[in-house]
Amino acid sequence: MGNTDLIKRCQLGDLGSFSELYHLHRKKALGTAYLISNQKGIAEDIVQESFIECFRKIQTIKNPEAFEAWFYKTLVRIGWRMVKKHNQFLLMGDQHMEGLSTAMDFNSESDTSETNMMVHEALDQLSLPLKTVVILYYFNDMSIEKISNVLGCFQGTVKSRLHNARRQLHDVFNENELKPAANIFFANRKEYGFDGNA
Amino acid sequence: MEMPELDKKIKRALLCKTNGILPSEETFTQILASLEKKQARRTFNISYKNYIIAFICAVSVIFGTTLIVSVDARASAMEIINTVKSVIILDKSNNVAERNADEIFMKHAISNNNQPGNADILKKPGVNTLFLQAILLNQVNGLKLCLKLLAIGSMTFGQTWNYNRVRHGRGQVPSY
Repeated sequence: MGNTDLIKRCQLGDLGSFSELYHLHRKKALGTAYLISNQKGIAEDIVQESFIECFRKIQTIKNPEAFEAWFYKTLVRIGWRMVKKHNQFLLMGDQHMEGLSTAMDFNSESDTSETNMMVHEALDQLSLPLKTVVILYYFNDMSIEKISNVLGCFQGTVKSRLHNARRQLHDVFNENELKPAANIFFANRKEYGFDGNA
Repeated sequence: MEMPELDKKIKRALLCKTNGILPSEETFTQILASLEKKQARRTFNISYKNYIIAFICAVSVIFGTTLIVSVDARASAMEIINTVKSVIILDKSNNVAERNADEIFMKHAISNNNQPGNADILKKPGVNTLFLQAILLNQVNGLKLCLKLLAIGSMTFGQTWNYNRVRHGRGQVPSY
């Protein structure tokens, strides 16, 4: 059954179709929610709330093709709200530890996991709107136009947010790549007696 | 670092991070349970709202009927309206002042100036006011009150009729 048929049946109140729709979108939705919130518990709450809202308001969709944008709009809004609500109770250290453990579990290569850690740390430093644009663009493979529909802003705004986010991530990468090289350079200087104190 | 390489790294890191996150099977059951709960709550709220509307209509009908039918109630309502009526007078120092009608009729209004100018009187109310009009208000109020009571009666009857039409007519919309 196609996505359009499923949505039309859902609009008629068919729970079976809603179940299919849920199983079709749950993994991506949970991933998005997890990347926004950084906590599995909150991510599950976001997904749950989003699907409840989805079933209650699915009748308002006139064009079933726009379902994805509409659904992720709801998810992102709920995600932002929950993240802001839970932010005061979260400890930054816990977030980093959780991100680290996930990365380590699924990638044994140390350099890749190091890069992943760098990306996660850099993403955590981004503001929520920039982070969301990055997630929707890279994780959900959405176009600029679709992201602008999801976030309810101009395409230019999305482009500028994406550009800013990339620049910040690029800076973090460069900084981390230069650090080892700089350390080696200063170590060699010391070894050969070119240290500033000598 | 070049941008395409950065793009690849970001994408890989995001996918890697979400790889381990699997949705639990209980989530859908919880969603269905929440939906049922919300549906039940909504049904209760709708019926509760209907009862409130019906109660308000009934009270207004009873109140309106009592006012229309009972002579005593009408008389007491007229008295209450009369108490709030005010008149404009000239006080001892020839200033225009607004006072309660009952209070003024009990006393004599004393003024040294027998022919006050229209401009002085117009200062406070802003309209051309005559003492005669204030006195005539007493008579007119009776008629006004009757008209008001009739209007209240017809409004409450209209509300009840509309409510019955919406409640039992074709206007009902299914919640889902």
